[in-house]
Amino acid sequence: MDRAELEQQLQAFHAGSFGWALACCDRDREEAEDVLQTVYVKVLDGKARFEGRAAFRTWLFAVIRRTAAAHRRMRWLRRLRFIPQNGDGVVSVEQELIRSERAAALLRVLPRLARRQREVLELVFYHDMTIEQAGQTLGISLGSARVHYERGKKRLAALLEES
Amino acid sequence: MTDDLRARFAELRDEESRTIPKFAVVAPASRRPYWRRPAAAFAFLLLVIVIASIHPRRKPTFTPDDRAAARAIATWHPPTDFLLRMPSTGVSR
Repeated sequence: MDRAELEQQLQAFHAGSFGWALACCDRDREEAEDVLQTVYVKVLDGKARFEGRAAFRTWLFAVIRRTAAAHRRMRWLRRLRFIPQNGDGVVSVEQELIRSERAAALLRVLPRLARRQREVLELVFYHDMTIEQAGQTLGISLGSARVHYERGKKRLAALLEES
Repeated sequence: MTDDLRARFAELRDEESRTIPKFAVVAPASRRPYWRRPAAAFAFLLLVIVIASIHPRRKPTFTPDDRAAARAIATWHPPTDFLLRMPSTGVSR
């Protein structure tokens, strides 16, 4: 895949990629933009190479997830060194912008799920992936993805009922 | 339960899709052509080769006067050289 094709693909999946980056960055909009920018540079400069083993979106989402995890580690290290972070302890702009009460309730309870469960549910419900594709994106087996999906769904429904 | 969750996530997606930054805004740095770095390295290498080939490698040239001066310096002995000679000089040879 040449550069022009890659750019075209990235542009086609941009909206979904941003949504996934938001999920991977705990809805921190600024960090999601940083992560996505890093991912685009990685992909276009050939540091992350699409080998065609999975669908382009599945591969791209896996790159976004890994990059976000690296950003999180960096953030954690900076916190250890007592460097103040921009969004620490502040309600994100993203959350303030959510108008729908149902969506806002969902955002409130999502952080209470285990990360894997949250990721599988986001991929399946938000990005309309199959459980198999979600598993590929997260680098886990179909069986594990199914277990996270079922448990996550039950827990999320219970949490929403509580709230 | 599944339908309700799907509907909630769809609402969240619709809400968030209103604030998605444009692709060009997120990816400006990535628009740098990927061939630029290797091209710069190649251009630098070419420049070094061109400079090295153009720059004349001059061999040192000596005139007969230079050679005579060098010979004179090599054979010159200071006038006080005899002071360094000792009676035992040559005995141990």
